[in-house]
Amino acid sequence: MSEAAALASVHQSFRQCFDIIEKQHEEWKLAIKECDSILVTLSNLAEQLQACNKVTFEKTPLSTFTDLQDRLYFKLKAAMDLTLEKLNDNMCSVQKVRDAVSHQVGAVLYVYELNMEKLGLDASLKRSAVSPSVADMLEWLQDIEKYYRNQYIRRKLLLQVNPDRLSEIQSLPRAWAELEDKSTAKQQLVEDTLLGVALFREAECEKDRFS
Amino acid sequence: MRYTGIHSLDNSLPGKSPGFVTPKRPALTGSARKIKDNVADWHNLMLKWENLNDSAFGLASKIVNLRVSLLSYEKMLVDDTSPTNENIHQDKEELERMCSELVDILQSMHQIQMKMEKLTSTFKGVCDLEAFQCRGEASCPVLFHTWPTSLFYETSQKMSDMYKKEMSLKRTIVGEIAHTPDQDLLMVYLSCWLYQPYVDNSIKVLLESMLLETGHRAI
Amino acid sequence: MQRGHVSLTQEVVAGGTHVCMMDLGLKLLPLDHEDHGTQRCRLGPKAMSHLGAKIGFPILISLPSGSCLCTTWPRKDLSDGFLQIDTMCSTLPNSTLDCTSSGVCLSSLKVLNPIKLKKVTVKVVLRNLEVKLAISPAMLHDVVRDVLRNVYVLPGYVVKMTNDCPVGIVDIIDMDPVTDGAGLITAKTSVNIKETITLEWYKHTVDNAPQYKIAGMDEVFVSLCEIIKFPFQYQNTLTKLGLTCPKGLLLVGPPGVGKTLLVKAVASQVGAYLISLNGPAIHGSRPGESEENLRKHFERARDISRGGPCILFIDEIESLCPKRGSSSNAPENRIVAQLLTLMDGIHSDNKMVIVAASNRPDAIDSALRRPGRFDREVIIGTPTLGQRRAILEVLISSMPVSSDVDVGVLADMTVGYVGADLTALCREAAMQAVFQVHQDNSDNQVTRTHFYEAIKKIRPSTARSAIGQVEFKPIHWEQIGGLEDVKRLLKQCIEWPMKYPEAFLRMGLTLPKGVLLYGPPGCAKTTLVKALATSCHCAFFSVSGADLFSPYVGDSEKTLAQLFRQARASTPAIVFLDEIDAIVGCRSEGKTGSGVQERILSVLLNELDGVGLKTTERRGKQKLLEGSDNNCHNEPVEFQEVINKSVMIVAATNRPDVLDDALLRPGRLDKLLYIPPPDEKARLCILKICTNNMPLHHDVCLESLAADTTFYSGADLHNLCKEAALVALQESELQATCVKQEHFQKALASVPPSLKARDLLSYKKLQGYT
Repeated sequence: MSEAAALASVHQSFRQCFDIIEKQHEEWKLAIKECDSILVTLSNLAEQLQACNKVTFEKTPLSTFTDLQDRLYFKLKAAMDLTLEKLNDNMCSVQKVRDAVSHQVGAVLYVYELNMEKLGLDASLKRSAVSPSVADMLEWLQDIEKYYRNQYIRRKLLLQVNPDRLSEIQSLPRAWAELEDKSTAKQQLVEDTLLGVALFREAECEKDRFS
Repeated sequence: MRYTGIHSLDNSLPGKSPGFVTPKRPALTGSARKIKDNVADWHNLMLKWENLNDSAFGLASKIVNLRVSLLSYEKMLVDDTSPTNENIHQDKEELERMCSELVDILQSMHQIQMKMEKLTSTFKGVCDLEAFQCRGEASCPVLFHTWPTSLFYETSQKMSDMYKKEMSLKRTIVGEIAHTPDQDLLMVYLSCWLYQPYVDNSIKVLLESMLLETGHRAI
Repeated sequence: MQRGHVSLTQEVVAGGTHVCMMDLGLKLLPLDHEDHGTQRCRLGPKAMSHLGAKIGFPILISLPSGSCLCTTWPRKDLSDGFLQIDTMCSTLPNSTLDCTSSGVCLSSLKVLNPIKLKKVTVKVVLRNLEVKLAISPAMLHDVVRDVLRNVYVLPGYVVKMTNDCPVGIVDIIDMDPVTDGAGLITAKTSVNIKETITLEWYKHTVDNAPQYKIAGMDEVFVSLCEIIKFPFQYQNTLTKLGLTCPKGLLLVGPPGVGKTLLVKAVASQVGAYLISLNGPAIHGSRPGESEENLRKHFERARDISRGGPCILFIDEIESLCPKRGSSSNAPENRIVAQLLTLMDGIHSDNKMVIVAASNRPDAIDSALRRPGRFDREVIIGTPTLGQRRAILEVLISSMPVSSDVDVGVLADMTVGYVGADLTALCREAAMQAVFQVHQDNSDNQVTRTHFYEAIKKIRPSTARSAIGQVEFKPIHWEQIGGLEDVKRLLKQCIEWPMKYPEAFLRMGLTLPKGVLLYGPPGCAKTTLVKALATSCHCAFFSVSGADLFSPYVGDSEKTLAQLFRQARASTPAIVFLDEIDAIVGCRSEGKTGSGVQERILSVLLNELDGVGLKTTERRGKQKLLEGSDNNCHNEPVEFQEVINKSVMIVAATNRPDVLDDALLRPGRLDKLLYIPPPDEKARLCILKICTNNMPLHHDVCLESLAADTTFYSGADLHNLCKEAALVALQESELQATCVKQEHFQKALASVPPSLKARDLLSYKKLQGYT
């Protein structure tokens, strides 16, 4: 296989990878958004539970309902469990995105390694108007992969709160949003990268069509 | 639930045959007819109750929000006398209007609850009738799949008790919701309203099993 | 590397322009922001091709301060001659690179082969305690796997994370397979977490203080270690037994014995985190601030104790917690109350021990000194002979000491020295040596003379600001003429017990407590005591009435008691009470009941023969003091230590008849020694000694002078010689070269004897009476 062929196969795997990342990113955003609303619900529930714990029912007009506090607590807890379950499902789909991206990036690296010798250093560093250099794209892919892994574990960690620590649960949505804010620069990273390789992908598509 | 367990064992063999659905006699008559209709009514009433509950909850939370803002405003009044009474007046009127609306809804919920009780007493009537018809015999006939008639009555009784208790809770809440300054208590009122602590989660199962038994739901 | 060399030579041959690419320096630039935590290093394309480096493959960069393992990436602008390093995985002590240093040589970069690891063993350092408590083991494992994923590591390297990660640092302890390549952690690598600690602990262990050397406190050290270790090691057993571990410990001892050092040594031995807390750091100006500070310290200790054993050390606790009630000081009372509450609040399951140190335990609030707060009290006294020896051995072990230095002798000489004094002593000796080396380039060893010089300069700290501490010209026995009997007796009573204790013990003798010297004035009582103090190396305290009496009620007694306390702290010691009749007098004289003298007498009697010592004055091993059966191994040193606990009282008076009888009975001043006026032979001796430095004419006959001077006391004779010399000078108008017999005769006429036969008779009577 010549240098050109090696470059072509590397480029092809790049294109496939970017396609998949684009798709996965949409799913990622969707899942995260869903989590947002679930967390708000969770925080509401935590607030209600706190109020339920704080109020001494005997001193209120509700004193006639002797088992009310326990019943309400039970109901709220049940609702919370349900919400947590939903959250878990969502996190699973987030994890799926992460794994898919990791897998795909790994595959690209493998293709690159196979063709590395033939490609040579100079070819890997060459940039053109249409296509970024192989090194650049490798770097971007690594960054993206790392971003997803990081975000996932960070969010997962955030959700590790003990369900009994109500005040923490109550502040979850804010912490969650902060995570988003902090990573806006990097969130942009995925989209920017996709933009940066848009021309390249188009060109690759063209090539496919011609061949 | 206990009963279904035992009886379904007895009837398990015929029940197995494919295509065997609720005795789909085109025209159910007498007690069976009555029971089936009642169960359907139960279902509808509960739906209505949920709807009313939801709209009432919306109202209640609005009331609570208003109350909270009024409270904070009153606190402000103590600190300094800023003259924006107009808004307050409006708010107070709004509060009154919503309260009366809530009372109206509560009234209709009460009616639903009464209807539930009436359904229960109908079941009781059917039971009594059957007992009268079958007196002297060893066992009463099973009208549907497995349930004896008395089980319908007992289930209905259980469910209607729940709603009765819930109704009295709601009545208390409506009476107090616009009068307490304690925000935590307000929160408790709201969550009580929404989560209906006296309506057990098992009520869905009870209703579904009645629907199943009477053939409203396909097995 | 090998390949790099090959390509290099080719390059040189082919191009010729790149004379020595390998030696060419790369300029070290700070890292771009977005590359932080990516393990990337940025190189120019030419450097990459010279090294044979592949994009994204590991490279080892050796820097002066340590090495970094990075992945190779080209610079964005593809320019050569620069190097940027992310120090994520490195052996560097701190994470920031010093970019101002000169460039990095290309030869210090080495391309490594990537090896996919099967297994890696790590130590995880979490950012803080909350994280450690909140995170579950499974989750932690996930997080660590995640942060290590796609990272190249080498054993012994430290992977540092960016700030927003809960895991701060991961220490790579071991990896499998171990090769010379860089290990890559993939999704399939199994991560084994060997240990999880918090960052604070990590820092504590990394910059661990040097090993503390302590000596002479082995017993206290071991028991302290046990007390502190117990709750940490046998937690389960203790809870099974339903015991609560002791959590408080009070160290009592005079300043400088090494209380603080002991705690530090124990902490490093047990591996505990030591938090020091001292009075000034606690006290604040605002009301309530002090309590708040105290709470904060306890809170911190509690937090740390969740990560491992922790010792909260309160130095000088008496300044923090003075006795309540006596000081009508509300803020201090509040602090005491707060401390009590906090100490009670410590759970027994907390791995936390409080150690307090004080040299005035009496000043501490008594509520603190009970089980549940400070359960145990360990008393560290002034070191005994053996302990001093041990301490000196440790101190000297690190010094170049010449062979003539005998530690035993030094220990013998340094009575009353505490650890701090001995340290100062060694330092001073070393200084002397340095000084000498500076002057005459002899070899720099510390010799015995240096130590003796130092002993002169460094006084024991217990003796500083002490009463009764005197300096005098050393006097030897030979300088006292006559009195051979008395000298022998004195040696027997005082010097022997100090010098040959084993003989006393063998014969079952109890040691004499005190000696009373009486006799007519001027008969060398005081001089004898001086000679005594010179001959046996022991602390010597001398008091007279002037030292003791004070216008304040109770002050004199206190001073006397303190004198004895100090003497006991630096045993073996001699307390010399000159003119004791003036100090104590007699009770039976029918004076008014509450005279100062009587009170002093009662103090003295108690000190001589009281029930026992105060517990806080305990020294050495407790068992010996209690006299239990510890004496199976007969080592002379131990005997000596037993004996050395004694304080010898020597009193002198010329009016023994006015002394209280209680003072004179055996067990107190049990030996009465009459110092007689010199007889003829003694007078001759005295005269010889007095005229030792005098140029005598050959016609002077000292024998006849001695015969003529009955009733002359030693002091008189001394005076006589002086007078004779003066007469000689006077006659010859300062031209005299020698003293003649006639001068002595003239002097004899002008100096009358001070003793009278009547006085002597009364002394004789008393002697007979005893």
